[in-house]
Amino acid sequence: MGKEIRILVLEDTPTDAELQLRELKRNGIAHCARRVETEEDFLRELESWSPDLILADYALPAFDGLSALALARKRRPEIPFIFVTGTMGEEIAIETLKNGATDYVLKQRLSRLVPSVKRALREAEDQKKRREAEDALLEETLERLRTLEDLREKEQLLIHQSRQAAVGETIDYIAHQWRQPLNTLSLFMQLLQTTYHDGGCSGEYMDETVEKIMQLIMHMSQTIEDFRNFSRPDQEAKPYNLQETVTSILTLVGDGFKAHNIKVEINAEEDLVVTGYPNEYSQVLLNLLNNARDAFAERKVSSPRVEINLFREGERVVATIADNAGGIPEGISGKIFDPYFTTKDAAKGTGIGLYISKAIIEKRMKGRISVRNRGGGAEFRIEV
Amino acid sequence: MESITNATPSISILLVEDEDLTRELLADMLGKKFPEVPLYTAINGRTALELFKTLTPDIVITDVNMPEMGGFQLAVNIRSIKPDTKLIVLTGCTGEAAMRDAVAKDFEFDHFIVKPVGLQELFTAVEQCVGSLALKQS
Repeated sequence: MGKEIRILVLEDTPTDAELQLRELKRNGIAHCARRVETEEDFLRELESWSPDLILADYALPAFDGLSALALARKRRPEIPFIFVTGTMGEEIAIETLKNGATDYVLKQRLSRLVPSVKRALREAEDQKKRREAEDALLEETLERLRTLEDLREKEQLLIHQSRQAAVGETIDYIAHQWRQPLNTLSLFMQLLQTTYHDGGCSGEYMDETVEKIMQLIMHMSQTIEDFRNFSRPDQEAKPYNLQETVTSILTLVGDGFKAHNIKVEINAEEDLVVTGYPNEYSQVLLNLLNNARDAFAERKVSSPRVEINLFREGERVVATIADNAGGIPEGISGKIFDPYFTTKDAAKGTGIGLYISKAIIEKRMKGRISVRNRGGGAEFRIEV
Repeated sequence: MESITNATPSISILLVEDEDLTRELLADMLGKKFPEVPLYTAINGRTALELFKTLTPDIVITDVNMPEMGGFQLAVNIRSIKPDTKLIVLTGCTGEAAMRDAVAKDFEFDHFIVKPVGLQELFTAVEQCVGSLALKQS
């Protein structure tokens, strides 16, 4: 033993204690010791002095060894506890070991004390190391959990931001969707007025015009209803027809894309039914379409075009969304799904669209999203 | 109005709008307002340019966002063929300065009309164009 160990001796006979400690010293166990006789002293030294080892007599006038053992086990279970006693029947000896004593040594066979102490200290040391390792492991696990918690909070924030961004986009699309019918509506109203003043407003003419106006209004109403449905997250996974989902999102963005002269072509296999979250899937599509639209505008592509292919591949249903906007620059394709990574202006891009898209497809729908450059543009591939 | 059309019998209008219903309504109302003025219609910039080359209308009223060829490209083409053509733009956007920049800094449109189109505003714009054309012709 390299360092000096602290030994608490519970012994009413000073010479006995002396004998035991001398035996240890003679055999190279460097130590300092304190001898106590009463429960009060025993407890105090146990708590405040923090011994490395306890040697205890079994029978004492003012205290007893079994009570001391119980106390030590309760307060400081890691300290080895060895009975050193004049007499101890086999049964009592076994009882003490059952109650948590490390060992017992008879005073008349003190030569056994050194190996017993050495073994007890070694075991205590091993246990300490094991405990430290366990603590470290626990701490590491906690740290990981905390990190996970942080990540989850961050992700929540991102999802919230992405919804807000989606709302902004939605308003933009509704503006495009409504501009045309609003203009037509206003023309109808003005025509109605003019016709009335010219005296040409018959009942039949009025009915026809109002019917056309109502059609326009119903169409505009449907537009906001569609956007509302789309912006609501799905609570439960359900089967949906992929082609219908893609077609409806294309209807939503249709006028916005037309305003930028972007052509969209869709090729779909029949009956592509997927189980999952159609609105989230639509959000991903919208993200990809918006990115394409922004890339077309930024790079001033002369005849912008998006091609969507929907097909089955083994067990999975695949959607590819390809544009002709020049593709993703070398060196950033590994980063585009990272949170807060964006190539757009701070005012336009939050850098979370593709990150959320990946989370939706891969975490929520257990699918896969990837990208490659192909045919003068970027091609995204979604497998679910 | 009567006096304007009588004084300028040669004036004609080309209306370019891709949305069918809007185009029909506008044509209907322009026809009612200016019954003496020949009115042609086109569904996009490309067909409008073809028509322009053969009919050479004096006033072109055009939408901006259209398939195949938009209103701005059409305007630039038309001015290169016949610089004194009157151009009236119907647009969904409100930023006139930004719209001018979209074509060219020194490009002059005669009138910007923001959608939804107010008929009175459109009629006034047409009358002003007719007036200044008549002045030149006389």
